[in-house]
Amino acid sequence: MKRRSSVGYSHVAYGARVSRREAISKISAGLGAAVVVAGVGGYLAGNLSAPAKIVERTVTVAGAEKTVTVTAGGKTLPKLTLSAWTYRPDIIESNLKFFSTYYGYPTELVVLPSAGYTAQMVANFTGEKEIDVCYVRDSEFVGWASAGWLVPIEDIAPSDKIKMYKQELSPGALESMTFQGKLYGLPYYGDVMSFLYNAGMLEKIGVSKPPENWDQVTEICLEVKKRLNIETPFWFSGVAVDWGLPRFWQTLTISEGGTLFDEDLKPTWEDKESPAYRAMKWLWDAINVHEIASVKGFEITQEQGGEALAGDPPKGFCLTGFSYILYLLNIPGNFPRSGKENFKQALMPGKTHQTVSYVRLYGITKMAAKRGKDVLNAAWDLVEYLGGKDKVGEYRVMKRWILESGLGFVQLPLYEDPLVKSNIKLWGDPELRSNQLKLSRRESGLGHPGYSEWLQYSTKEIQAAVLKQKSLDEALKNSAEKWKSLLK
Amino acid sequence: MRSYTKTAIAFIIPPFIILALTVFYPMVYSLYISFHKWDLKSPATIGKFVGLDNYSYVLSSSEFISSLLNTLIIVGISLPISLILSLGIAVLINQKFRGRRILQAVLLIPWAIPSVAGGVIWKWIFNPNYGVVNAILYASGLIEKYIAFFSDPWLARIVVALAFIYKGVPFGALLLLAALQIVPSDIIESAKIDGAGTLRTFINVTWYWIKPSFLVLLVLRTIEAFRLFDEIYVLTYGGPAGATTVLGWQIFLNAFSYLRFDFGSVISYFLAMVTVSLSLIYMKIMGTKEVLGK
Repeated sequence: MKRRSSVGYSHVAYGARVSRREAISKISAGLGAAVVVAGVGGYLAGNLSAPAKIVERTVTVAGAEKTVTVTAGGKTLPKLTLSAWTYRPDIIESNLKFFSTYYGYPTELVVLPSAGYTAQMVANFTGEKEIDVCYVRDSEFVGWASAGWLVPIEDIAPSDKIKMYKQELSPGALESMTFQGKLYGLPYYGDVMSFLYNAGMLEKIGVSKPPENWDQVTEICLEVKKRLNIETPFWFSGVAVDWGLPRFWQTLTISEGGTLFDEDLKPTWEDKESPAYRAMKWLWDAINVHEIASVKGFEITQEQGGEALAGDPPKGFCLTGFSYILYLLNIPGNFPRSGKENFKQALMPGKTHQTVSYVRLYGITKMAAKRGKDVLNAAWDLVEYLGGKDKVGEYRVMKRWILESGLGFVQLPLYEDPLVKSNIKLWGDPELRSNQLKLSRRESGLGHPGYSEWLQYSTKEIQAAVLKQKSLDEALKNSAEKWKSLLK
Repeated sequence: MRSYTKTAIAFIIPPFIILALTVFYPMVYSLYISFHKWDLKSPATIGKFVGLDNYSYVLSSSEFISSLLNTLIIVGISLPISLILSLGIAVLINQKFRGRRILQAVLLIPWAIPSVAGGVIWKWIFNPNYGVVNAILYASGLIEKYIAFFSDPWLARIVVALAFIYKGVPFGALLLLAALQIVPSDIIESAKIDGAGTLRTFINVTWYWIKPSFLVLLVLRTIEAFRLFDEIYVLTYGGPAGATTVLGWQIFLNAFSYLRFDFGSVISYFLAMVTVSLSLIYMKIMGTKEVLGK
């Protein structure tokens, strides 16, 4: 998640000889990029005509050495601190500047490394560092909420607003941001596990439409392997830090109409006929029997997997949690071979075509609550501006993320937004994205505080099985036992 | 004499206060945590005294045992190689040859590079798609297809050990070089006149002089090896299949991922006990007191 979009940047070398086809392709791509830039530019210009700012003056309080903003009524507005991980801090800074300008609150951004974000935030919570709003991953959300580190926005925001957001956010995302019946935040972004494929490659072997089920995925991959001499046409990310393997498992299971855990949170995969067992068997076979996927996935992050999809030679299929990888693949300049292949998204193969959804949210911290009601209200304003609607009722910040980075989103009205739709059409299919979101569910087990520990443990066990250090049955049995021990 | 003592105390008190706040207090506090339930996900139960329950649960768990084994494997690979290489390089650059000073300066580079940055370099070097090691092996015909080093348990352990060795050898070499340079040249010459060869001179004379420094290095590197974390964090995240989940990584997972500070504290204290015990054993074996003449 570190790569910047370079839309609008021409990477055609001066004096280089290009074929007519390449030239047309590059011109089209350039035009596409120009449309993206124009869209973003126009959109931001719209921001400049937002409501008049409420700030009267900004003063520095001597001694206290901090800047405060004073409103026309003489009320001091608190400074708000947002902690975020290292994805496009330039955009985050800029969003905060707009917020400060139009809402009056001084702001500060604390950027923490993505991989170490959780550890540093745990230290910040236990040390009660002055952070008011923070990014939260849904996989950690329940743990943080049950530790009392986050405050429900439902206790702060007006009830009509909460009601409105509950109607406008996707059900899966809502569920992922809810703990003990209360909504705890608004989404920074949300996405679904997505099935991406190389349409050009399929055409070469005479396949006109993407696979409908996982058996077809295997068949097409074997054909690609045989006829196009591509060693492992299917890509996935199973690196421990991403928890890609359990998420992959959840996705395949859901796509076949099952769940990993039943309603009583009991593991389902002990039954060998269950979709959960068969899903993991499919992955094991894909790597060890059909050899259409590689254990290299254990050391490749999702974005690197996306890059490999457009690598040399390109790959056929990819299962990724970041649908914006399609944006990276199809807009020139992101990866070395971006725009040179025809990558598309298909509905998740499987009986139900359902997939896993996830969300990253803005949460309000207990430290903000300790600073008093004014700070809590201010923190809500910030959360709403960043993850919800601004004063004119637009999802302004989310739209910006979509237009500039192609991030996934769970605000349903945005799927009908003409600017968003035309932008996505440059690199993907807005209808399909919308349909896939509708066919998505939260990971089962996510609401349990021990879930992240189980994810870590299961990643290890599944890797061991795939590497044939132990049998698949033994690994799955261990995984089930671990979950049961965490339920106690 | 009395004013001398007062001055000494005045100098000692400020650093003592700092140490007390930043070292002693956290140490005592984490010891306290290790005997209580400290699951941050269950705030209501935090602080409940559980006696030795945390110790018996953690130290008998399969995760702990496998991470202890992984630690011993990686320490077993990296520590002897690291020490031998340090000694060899120190002996080499103790010789008089052209460019020796430049070599000494260059030698410092791996030590000066932060572990995380060094880890990233290793990650690129062993990348399964475009890593230079794969490229060289492939070009020289030694492999038919690129190897996924971090997807193979033993190769991953070896690469982690390699990163640890690379980082620590320069420091060790310089420490031993400093020791080598105080070996009296007249004693070496006397040994040679008496007919001792290079190896015998080294064993009977030089070793006697560098033994205390070697001991210090041994203790430091052992502690570092047991605390291994940065390389794991950057290179493997404890994978594949938990093959590089060492004790340091297990502490991190328990405390910061599972929010079980009690379990993290238990492993931390176990690690501290191991390193302190090993240090004492080394000192006993190496006979430090005799060597240092105290």
